[in-house]
Amino acid sequence: MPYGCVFLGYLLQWLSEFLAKTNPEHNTQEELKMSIQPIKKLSMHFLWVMSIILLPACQQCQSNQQSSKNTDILRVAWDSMPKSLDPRFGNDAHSFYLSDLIHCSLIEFNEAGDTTAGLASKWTWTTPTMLSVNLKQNITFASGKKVTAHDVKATYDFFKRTDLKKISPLAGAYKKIKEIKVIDDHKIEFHLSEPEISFVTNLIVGILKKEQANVESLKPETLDHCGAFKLKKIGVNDIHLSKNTKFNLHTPPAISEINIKIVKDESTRLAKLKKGELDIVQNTISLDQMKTIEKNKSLSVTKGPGLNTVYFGFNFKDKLMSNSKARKAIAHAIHKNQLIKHILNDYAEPAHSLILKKSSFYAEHQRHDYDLSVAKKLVQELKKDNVDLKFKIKTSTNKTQVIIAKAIAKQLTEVGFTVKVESLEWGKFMDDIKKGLAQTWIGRWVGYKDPDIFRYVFLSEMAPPNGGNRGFYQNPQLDQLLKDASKTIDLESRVAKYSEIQKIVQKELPYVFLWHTANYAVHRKNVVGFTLYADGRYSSLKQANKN
Amino acid sequence: MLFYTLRRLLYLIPVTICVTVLVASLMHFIPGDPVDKILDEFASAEQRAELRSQLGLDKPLPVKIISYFKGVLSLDFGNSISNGRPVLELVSERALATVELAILAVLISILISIPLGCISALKADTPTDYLATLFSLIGVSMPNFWLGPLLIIFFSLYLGIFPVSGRDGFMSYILPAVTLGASLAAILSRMTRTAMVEQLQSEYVKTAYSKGLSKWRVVFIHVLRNASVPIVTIIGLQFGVLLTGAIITEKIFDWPGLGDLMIQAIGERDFPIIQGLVFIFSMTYLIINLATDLLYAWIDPRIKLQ
Repeated sequence: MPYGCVFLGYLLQWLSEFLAKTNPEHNTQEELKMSIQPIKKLSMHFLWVMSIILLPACQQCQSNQQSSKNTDILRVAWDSMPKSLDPRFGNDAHSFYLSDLIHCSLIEFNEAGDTTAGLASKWTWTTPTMLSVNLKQNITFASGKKVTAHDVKATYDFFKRTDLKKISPLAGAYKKIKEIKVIDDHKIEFHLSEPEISFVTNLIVGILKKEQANVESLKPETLDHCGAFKLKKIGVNDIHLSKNTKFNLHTPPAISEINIKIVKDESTRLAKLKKGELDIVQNTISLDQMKTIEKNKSLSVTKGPGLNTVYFGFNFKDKLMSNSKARKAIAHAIHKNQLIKHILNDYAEPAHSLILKKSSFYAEHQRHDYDLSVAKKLVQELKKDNVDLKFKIKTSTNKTQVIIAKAIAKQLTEVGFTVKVESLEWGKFMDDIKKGLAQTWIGRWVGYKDPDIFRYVFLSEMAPPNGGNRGFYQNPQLDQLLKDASKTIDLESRVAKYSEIQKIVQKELPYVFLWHTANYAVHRKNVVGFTLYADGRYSSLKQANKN
Repeated sequence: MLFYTLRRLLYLIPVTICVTVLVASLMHFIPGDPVDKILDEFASAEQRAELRSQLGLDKPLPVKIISYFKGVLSLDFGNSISNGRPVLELVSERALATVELAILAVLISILISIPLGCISALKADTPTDYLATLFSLIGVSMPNFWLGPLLIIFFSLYLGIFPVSGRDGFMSYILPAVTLGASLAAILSRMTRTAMVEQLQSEYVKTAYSKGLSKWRVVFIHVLRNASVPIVTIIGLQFGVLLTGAIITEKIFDWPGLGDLMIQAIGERDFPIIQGLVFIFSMTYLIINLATDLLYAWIDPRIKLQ
């Protein structure tokens, strides 16, 4: 860089001489010399000043290169800060991801998204409303204190408190807990007011020490962790974690430190990765960049299945969308494979149900694959019935979602619908859907672990603001099946019930299930051991390392 | 001057109150419920109502505004809805970053624009002047969201001199400050040129030359000072704008400033933060305007502030 300054200094001098010579005011050599002199001095001063300024830049470069080679720290980018560092309050994805790294919970999830043992070694539904949980022994917090059933009880009892200044956002998930009984230091019972088989998947709150769990407002720096890492430093835009040397729930982490940097702009995330200022970015780079990234010599891309479903939703309060012929015509007109190939660069697989094909609860009874002739025929029938075929697709302002919405609109226009796309700021978008002001929209369900998601999404009582039935779909037969399935403990019976549920859903089409997006991570080639978890968590940072 | 200053300081109060009341009223009509942002859809209607009550969202608008101003009198701007932290704490941890960036951006723009404007004025209607005009046009035409990534690609990725983003060391200030300062430099250089050309035609300039003063002394000590009133106006106005947060630049460079906080608060419908920031921004802007007006009187003693 100092060489660049020298070059720039001489360039300035040449430029000043050129401009002086072309100035008609300068008649004599003496006048020319006089006019150039100050500029020559100025450019030499500039040269020295820039060299002095840029010398630290060279040192900074070296320091950046050194830090990128620092094999003891993994630097990960997230696109937003966790809402809360207290596991009892964070209900956004990043709060869960962080809690997974610094706390231990009763239940964990493996790479496929299946429930696995965490702090709980075993759990059994003794009755439909009583869950008995055995804890692993000799698990400790970072302070050395052992984790016992009393700590677990205190953590979950917090959600039942009515004297809090601000209720926990997670309280809704535990509203059915009637009582928590400690049997001994390593056995606990959860008594529910009514059966809820999916309750087990909610036992993911980070366990706090009994003394801390009773305190309403905790400073993150004071939390005693039983997870693989502990909080070292919290900045405005970054979180530093260090290895918890007392961690004994699983294999201790391989890396000493993790720096989580909040990088909100996608281009900046990619630039930092390329430069070596970041090691891992997961799911927050647009898919249209992936083909270029795959050719980059210093970066690797890891791809895996995701626990999410992108869908095209229908508002049953709308006259057109409550017409089953219209919904079927739309389903047959959407060319999912084309959209997956050209917009998502094959980072998705077509969906035919709310849950993934690999799930033991998956059932396929009826498909509405792309078929232009069927779609056109249905549209003709609608036209004969004088049905107005104009409607809007609402979407968020996410770039990819807008492109997908426009592509779908084009496909639907080809069969005879008149479609407009309206992209809205996220808050307005969700508000419109919940108020029933969206005829159709493109949405996504993420991170669900249990087929009870069907109840949440399609039960009549779950219409907003009570739940996720955003299309205001009503079907008494389906309602009964959903309620029965959520209370059924026997696996075989559950599978049969969810098969029936999917039969109705696939026939009635309250949604067109579009695809399940893949999870993907872009990381530096020297990062090893990082694998993807289907629900997007960063659990594999516990095993990841750098060469 | 003192009376003028006190009077202007008093005007701050009703103006700030009006702005805050207006923004609070408008926020009342923004679609999107902050309770939905905090509680997930599993929450019951009772839990929603309870949280709404705890956050004071169920109170009528006039009651909310009055209790807000009561809190402001004791420097209590309320707590963030989404994370519960005091608004003043959130603002104070980010304010320094914004101030530093604004000052550096203005310094860079002054260092570029004043000499450029002066040279352009002295060499009016010559290739030098045309080159400076071209620079100004380019500077004004380049939007921040284009210039910022371009600087990152060239200086961070290709040359590897500066870090890509973040506020970590002196070198991390340069690219965001240049991004912010570039368009300001372009505007200032044109303003400087115009003002200087006008002043250079004055009689006192001829007098100064005839007295034997050097060209540089005449231009930079006498002419520039007389030409600086409009320049100071632009600098003052732009500094006020920069202090209230350069949202796009802060997002591109991950700058932990007030603009970033505002955008986050709007997305989360975090009304206490939005209100607090609007209050602080309006006060800041008015104070900067006052300081600019006072500076006129210092620069040109002929100006009487009444």
